[in-house]
Amino acid sequence: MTGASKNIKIDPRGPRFGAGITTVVLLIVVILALQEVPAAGSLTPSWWVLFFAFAMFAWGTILGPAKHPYGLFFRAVIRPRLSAPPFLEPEAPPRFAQGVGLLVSGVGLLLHVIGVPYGLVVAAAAAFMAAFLNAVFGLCLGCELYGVLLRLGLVGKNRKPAK
Amino acid sequence: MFERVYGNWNTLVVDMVGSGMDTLTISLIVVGLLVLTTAVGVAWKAGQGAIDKRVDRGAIPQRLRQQGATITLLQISSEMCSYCAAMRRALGHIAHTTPGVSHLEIDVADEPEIIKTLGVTQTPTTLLVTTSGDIVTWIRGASPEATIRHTITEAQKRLEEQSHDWSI
Repeated sequence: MTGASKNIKIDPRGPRFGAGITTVVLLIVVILALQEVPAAGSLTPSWWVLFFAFAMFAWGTILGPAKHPYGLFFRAVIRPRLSAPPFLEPEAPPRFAQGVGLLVSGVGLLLHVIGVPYGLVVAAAAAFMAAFLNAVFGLCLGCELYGVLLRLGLVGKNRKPAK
Repeated sequence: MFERVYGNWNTLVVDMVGSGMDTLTISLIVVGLLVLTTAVGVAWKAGQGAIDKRVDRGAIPQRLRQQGATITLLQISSEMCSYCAAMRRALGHIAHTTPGVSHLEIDVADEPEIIKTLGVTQTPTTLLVTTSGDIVTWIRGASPEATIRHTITEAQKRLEEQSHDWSI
């Protein structure tokens, strides 16, 4: 995460809109995956939809939520129909959340390819929960996790030096 | 040889989990997932904005209090935070429109000792601090502006009553 992320401020409703789309996509993955016979290694429809989600997370992590397809759509189509945002938020937290989504969906894709039964379903379900909580309740699960890591001294300015 | 091991593992897995799930089971799982996630969200939301009238005497040093403010709204935020920006807006607006009340925001990383001593566990955590550095109320998590205003008024009343106790 570059220092610039702290300075880029975005409409907080943009990432929540994106999380809403992601919620639907991931739910589709779960439903498709549950219907599939767990055939190890073969790239099933659910795998491809999860790969799409993975690609979207990668876009959001690397370029930030402002330059994300969902974010661009939000700005072009949704935002003009809304009143001005009451405040702006730094793009760092939603960007970090994209990174967490990237990791979890990536694990799901990998588990499926190496043949772990229902590995993809569990990973997609976990990512679905995080996206749903973000879209509906504004809860950034990755942020809360970051807080726990902070208190353990594993991240942040005061992290304990590696031995 | 690898293919044989891999093939056997694959067959074993398919035998274990069967030829796929029926629609009812899938529906139950999906509904269960939705219910569970909603429950987590509701529980989390319910825990937000908890008001704690906990008093910590002299806990906040001069540098973290605003000069001339009866009450400093000391907001403790972190870099990755669900609602710090929203709280910043609410507290800033209140400070702007309420005489004697100021808003000061710090990052958990800036004051690790104080954070640890006080036992701050979530962000945002907002402390209502008096001119003498006493914390008189804790607001844990995000809270609506109206609730914050009510909390400040209540804290100011409490302070007034205490100052009367001391008068001769």
